[in-house]
Amino acid sequence: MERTILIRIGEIFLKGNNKRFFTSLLKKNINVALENYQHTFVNSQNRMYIENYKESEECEILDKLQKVFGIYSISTAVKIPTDLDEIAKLCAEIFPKKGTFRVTINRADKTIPKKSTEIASDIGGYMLEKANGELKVDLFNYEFEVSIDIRESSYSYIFFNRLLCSGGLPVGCSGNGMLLLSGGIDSPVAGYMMAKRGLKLYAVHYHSFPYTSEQAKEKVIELANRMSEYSGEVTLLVVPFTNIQYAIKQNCPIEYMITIMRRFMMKIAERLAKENSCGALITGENLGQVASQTMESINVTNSVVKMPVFRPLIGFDKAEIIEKAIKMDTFKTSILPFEDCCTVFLPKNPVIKPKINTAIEYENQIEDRDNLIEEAIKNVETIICKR
Amino acid sequence: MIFLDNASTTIVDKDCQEICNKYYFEEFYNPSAMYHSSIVVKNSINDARKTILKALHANDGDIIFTASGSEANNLALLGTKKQKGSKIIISASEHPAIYNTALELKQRGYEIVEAEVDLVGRVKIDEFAKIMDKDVSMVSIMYVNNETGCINDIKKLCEIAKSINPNVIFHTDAIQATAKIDINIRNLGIDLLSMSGHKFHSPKGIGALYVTRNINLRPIIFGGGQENGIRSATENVAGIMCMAHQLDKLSRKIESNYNQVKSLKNSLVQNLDKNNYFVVSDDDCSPYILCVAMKFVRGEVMLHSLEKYGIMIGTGSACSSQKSSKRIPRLFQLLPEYEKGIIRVSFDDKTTKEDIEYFIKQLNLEYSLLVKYMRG
Repeated sequence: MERTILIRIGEIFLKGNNKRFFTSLLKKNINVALENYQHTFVNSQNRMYIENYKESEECEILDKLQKVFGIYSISTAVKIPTDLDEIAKLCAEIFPKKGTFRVTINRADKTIPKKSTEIASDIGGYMLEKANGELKVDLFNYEFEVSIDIRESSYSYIFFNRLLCSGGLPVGCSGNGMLLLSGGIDSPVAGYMMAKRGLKLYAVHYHSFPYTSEQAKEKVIELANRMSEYSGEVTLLVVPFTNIQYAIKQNCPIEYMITIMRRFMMKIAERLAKENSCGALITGENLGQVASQTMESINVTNSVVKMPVFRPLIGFDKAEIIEKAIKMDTFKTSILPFEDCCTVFLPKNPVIKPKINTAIEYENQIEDRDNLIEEAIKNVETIICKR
Repeated sequence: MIFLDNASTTIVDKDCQEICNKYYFEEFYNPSAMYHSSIVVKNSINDARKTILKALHANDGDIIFTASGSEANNLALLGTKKQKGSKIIISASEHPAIYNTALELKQRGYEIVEAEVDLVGRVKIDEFAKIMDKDVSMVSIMYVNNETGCINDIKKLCEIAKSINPNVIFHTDAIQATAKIDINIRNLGIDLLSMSGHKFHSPKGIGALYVTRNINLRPIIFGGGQENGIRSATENVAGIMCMAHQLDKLSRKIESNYNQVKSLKNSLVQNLDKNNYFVVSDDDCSPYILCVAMKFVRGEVMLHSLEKYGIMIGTGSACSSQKSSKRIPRLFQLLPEYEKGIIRVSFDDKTTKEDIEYFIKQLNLEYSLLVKYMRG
């Protein structure tokens, strides 16, 4: 008798000819997630299993697997050679002796002469016999299900439970995305959601030392680390941004400070995205949340880039975003009270409906703007974030 | 590296290395065990107690070792027996270790009264006399304020308190005072006093509460009954020995160190351009702490700007990142343009004249750069 974990894939099963691409990527991601645990990955007859792991580490492995995108659900099971008498004995031993239950058989091994329903009734009967009358069969309103898979490999699996996982697609199958990571509540959630759709994450953070502290940077690294539990390794690029902010402050009207700053951010993000083979930008923008996230503001900041910009949170309420942030455990870090670069030089009345032409006109007043961008990109600090 | 944040912590004295080696690697025994080697350690701890009592000029009473100054403050406030629902006076400028513990006592049904303070955080004696009455079971007023360095007249306050209610328990948080100004417990007349080792060149993780003889404390940590049952936990022997050693050593030099630091502080104050800087601390404050407010430049930004020169200063609790802690800066009643510009420069006996000169030069340089980009 050996313990094993069954992995059920999510949307991948809908894929056609390129299914292999998705499953091999998922296998790779699972192996990376479990790299610190002894295990064997088994892919047989359209099913994935984790075997040969230490029983003492089972909880941690389940926890890791629940965070791998592309997995729909997992079950722990025992694997035993197919012998119906032995299976019945084992079921009577390991399942509760009280309550209502049903037995469900999946018989892939057609060499066994009995039909699934017959096997189910035999095993259920045996369990009733051993249970001193406190156990009852109820096929519809059962308290637990004894689920048995009889495979063609002459092995059978008896499942205990079924844990829902994160769903989505394996990270990497959709290419690379560059996330603008501020340190607030929204951007990590946006990253999570796009990783769930198969994007491998790169992140760019704008750092305004000495206006924002070392702690603010540490906080963003921590957020990227937490995100990486789901998305796998995140490459974080920290861009020194103070000189650009100084230039905007000196040359542009204060109410356009944030608008022009965000245009610079988008430009730099697109440059870094191209350098890192990313096909899209990702932001945590959310329509109407703040002055810089009105339709007009988004239009003005979006107009500096050609790349698609994914904004998975655009239609969410703040409460919904917070709920997701709590679930992925970034909320507590996000609300640590360190200033991010957007709050430095924050005008009292930022423009709510900026105009593209006005923004360009003001921007042109910064004569060395191209140099400033080159300088910032040249001094990017790269940090690999991984849990 | 120029470390001017000595009110937050201090560098551990080299002597402590030897002491730690001794109690980590040689006399590492559990003081509660019954063999001879343990009894030797236990005796050393008791000698340390005596050393500390002597340094504080205490006739009698006891020293309860804790893991920190905060814990000593907690033990003082929570562990003393007080009539249910009675009044407790604290000053409005107490450190969070007192202030938040008092809030906990409020939750438990006590009435907390804040003694009014002046613009540097010093308790106003007259106002204190007005709020002190027979229903007050305990008073806790800090000796030296951790933000401005202001020194409270503990002797006078204690006298007033005891003259109105002889049974009142008087505690002082002396964490910024210990080993820096001469504390004479006999003279002060107080019942309880907190200290913290790492504020005077001992390792972190050790503190103590002085308790006068007629006070009975109830434990806030339970266990094997160490420290007469008041503070269970295997003793931090090395920490205890280091703290006692440091207090003994520094007590002998209190006056000379004080004068030396005072002249450094004065030269710093003289060199600050009064158009840009407002000195919050006054002449009566402890010279070890200097609180300054800058015009238009945020304290936190200055702190980070000075980092590149290897200069470390503090912002006290005035740091704008900690949005919840406006309690203390509000007491200074600063003009709006100074409100966010608080920095705290804190010295120790190892700070040199050259350190201060370099600091002033870089401070002025950075100020002139930063003030250009003040917030719109």
